[in-house]
Amino acid sequence: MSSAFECNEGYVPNSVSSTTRVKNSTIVKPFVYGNTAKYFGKKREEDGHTHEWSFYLKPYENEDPSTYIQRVQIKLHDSYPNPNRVLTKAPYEVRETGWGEFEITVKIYFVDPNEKPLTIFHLLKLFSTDPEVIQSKRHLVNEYYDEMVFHEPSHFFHQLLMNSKPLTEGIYEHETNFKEKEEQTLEKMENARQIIRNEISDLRERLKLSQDKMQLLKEKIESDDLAADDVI
Amino acid sequence: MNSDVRDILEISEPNQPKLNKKKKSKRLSESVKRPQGVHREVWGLMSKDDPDQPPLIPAEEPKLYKHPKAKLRYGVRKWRWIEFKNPARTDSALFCHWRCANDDPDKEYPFAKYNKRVQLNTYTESEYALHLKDDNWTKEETDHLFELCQTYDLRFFVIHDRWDPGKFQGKNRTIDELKDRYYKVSGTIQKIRGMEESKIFVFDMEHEQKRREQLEKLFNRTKEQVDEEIYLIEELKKIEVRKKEREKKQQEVSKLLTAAGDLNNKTKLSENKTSNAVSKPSKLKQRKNSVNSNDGSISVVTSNKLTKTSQSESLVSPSSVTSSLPESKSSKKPIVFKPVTESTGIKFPDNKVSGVSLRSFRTKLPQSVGLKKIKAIEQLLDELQIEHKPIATENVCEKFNELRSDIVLLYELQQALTSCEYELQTLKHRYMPILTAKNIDVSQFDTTETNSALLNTLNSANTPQKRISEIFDVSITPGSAPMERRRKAALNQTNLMKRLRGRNAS
Repeated sequence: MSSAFECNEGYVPNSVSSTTRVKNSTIVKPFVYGNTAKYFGKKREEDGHTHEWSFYLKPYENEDPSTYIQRVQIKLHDSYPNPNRVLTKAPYEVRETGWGEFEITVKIYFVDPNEKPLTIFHLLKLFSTDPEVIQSKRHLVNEYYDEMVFHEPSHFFHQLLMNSKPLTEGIYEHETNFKEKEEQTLEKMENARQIIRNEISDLRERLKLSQDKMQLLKEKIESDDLAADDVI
Repeated sequence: MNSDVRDILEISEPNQPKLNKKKKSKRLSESVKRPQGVHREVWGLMSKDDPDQPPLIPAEEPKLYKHPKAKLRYGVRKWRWIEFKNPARTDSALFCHWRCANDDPDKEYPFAKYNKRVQLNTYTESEYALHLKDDNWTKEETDHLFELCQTYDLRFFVIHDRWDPGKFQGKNRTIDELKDRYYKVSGTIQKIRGMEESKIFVFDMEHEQKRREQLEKLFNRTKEQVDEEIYLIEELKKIEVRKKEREKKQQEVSKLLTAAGDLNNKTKLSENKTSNAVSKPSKLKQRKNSVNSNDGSISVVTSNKLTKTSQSESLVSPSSVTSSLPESKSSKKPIVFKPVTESTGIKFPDNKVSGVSLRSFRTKLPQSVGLKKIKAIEQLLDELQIEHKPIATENVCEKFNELRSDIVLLYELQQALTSCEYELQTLKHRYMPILTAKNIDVSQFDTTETNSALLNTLNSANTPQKRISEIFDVSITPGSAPMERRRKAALNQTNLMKRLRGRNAS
């Protein structure tokens, strides 16, 4: 696998491999992004910062995304010095301190310059209602799972996407168990759907009944109306 | 004022520094004080304190006319008062007018060429005797008519005015009669002389008379009549618009019903695998229109793979139409093979764009989903304890979109139901007096709320009394005012229709 990776020489613009697309191929690269936050315990005097937080973006699987991601631009709030942070190595992480929540804009640029960069918006969460977090027993974790879907990438890019090497040697884990979460969500949705389906059929029956009644009433009225035209 | 000028121009007074005191006294003694009525500037112009000071009188302007004289090429021409002949005149009367001396004296009077006359076809005696005899018209009358036509250039209004009934036994001819006679005679003459039939002008007297009458009536309408007409036309338009709206609503409701039916059938499909697959081909054969994709679709159904929702729903719609709604409404008579998801629920943009995209992009609501629907979806999701943005795997996204589509369908059904029930109520109240007079049982038209026992037996499970759909804040009666207006409008409509009917009859 590594030899296949090495034979790739780099991006050559307007070459066959960079312009033609691999038909009907979709490659999915799942990833995880989010932030952790820890309360200092007190408000820092100099700048009023109260929390230490870290925003990160890393692949879900243990692989090195720098084969297909050229760089990741993380835009913080303007009050931060140098708010545009550019990172080229996984995990794409920003560690900072602050006092308020704001929206972080993340732009992922790919090695293939023909591919448009992906934009992700993430609301930095610092405050929590969880009692354990408040007591500083645990960090606050606000993570999301998402997937990058590459549909019909160019040959050159396709190769890069397929060949990837692992990131770390050791255990690679995330804060939240996403598999479990997925199963739970699916189950909940199935239940919800069932409920709603029942409701729909219920309503449908009622609607039909109403319509039939209205039809009946209209017929009655019509017959009455014609007869009672002289009376009115 | 002069000191101001000097300051501006920066001219210094030569005597100033030395003889200040003397100047002062000199000034006081010699200068004349400005009279009260004269303004400072005027006095500055007028007073002759210091003859060396620059005068403030405007310089003389050159004498110019505001409008410079027109410079003509030829200078002044001479005009003469001379006599002239007008060739358009039948007599050779001589008149005088101003004419330029340089003009060509033999030039024809320029306005003579505008004297155009109509060329009439006149008949000979023999022609008249052979073809042109008529019961109502004597020869003298016809001759007189043609004379007048010639004199007055077929201006029938004038001819009609000049027509002398006294000559012809007091018969008063209307303008149409004159026209009719003239054109008949003229046409016959032309035919005799061999002109093409198509080029002969035909005068339809009856039509002309009617047209004239109608114009008279139109002209003589009173203001009230005009207003009434306008009012009626507008009301008619409104009625038609409302009719269309009602029809549209009915169509939407029927669509909702089919969609709801589809949904049920789809779930039944997924539950009962084999039984439905067997019954399906027979149902499909019963359908009126056979669609090509049917044959291909049957095999998909039997294998029971519901991979793409839109495909499967469109498959199901033909059969569901026959099964769920045997009394097909007029709007669905030709059972059209159309995917139902387009009209109800949400259609998610599913086109695979080549390039990179995020999975969570799939769960974005299309723009067509209105704010109210979005709120309804969020409310219901909260109730069902589902996150607004669930974990973005493929399965979850798909299920989530389906779920939201169902929610929207539910919402629409709820709306349709409430509006339908409301209509029922209004109708009932409106016709209450008639119905009670006829001793018709009114209670049979009560709304379905009272029939919940019946509905419970329909559903196998015991549905809780509090329906989840009641979460939707579907309020179509924000206040009584719009409803009152609608009721009044409906009443007005019936009155209008009666009036129109009455009008037409009379």
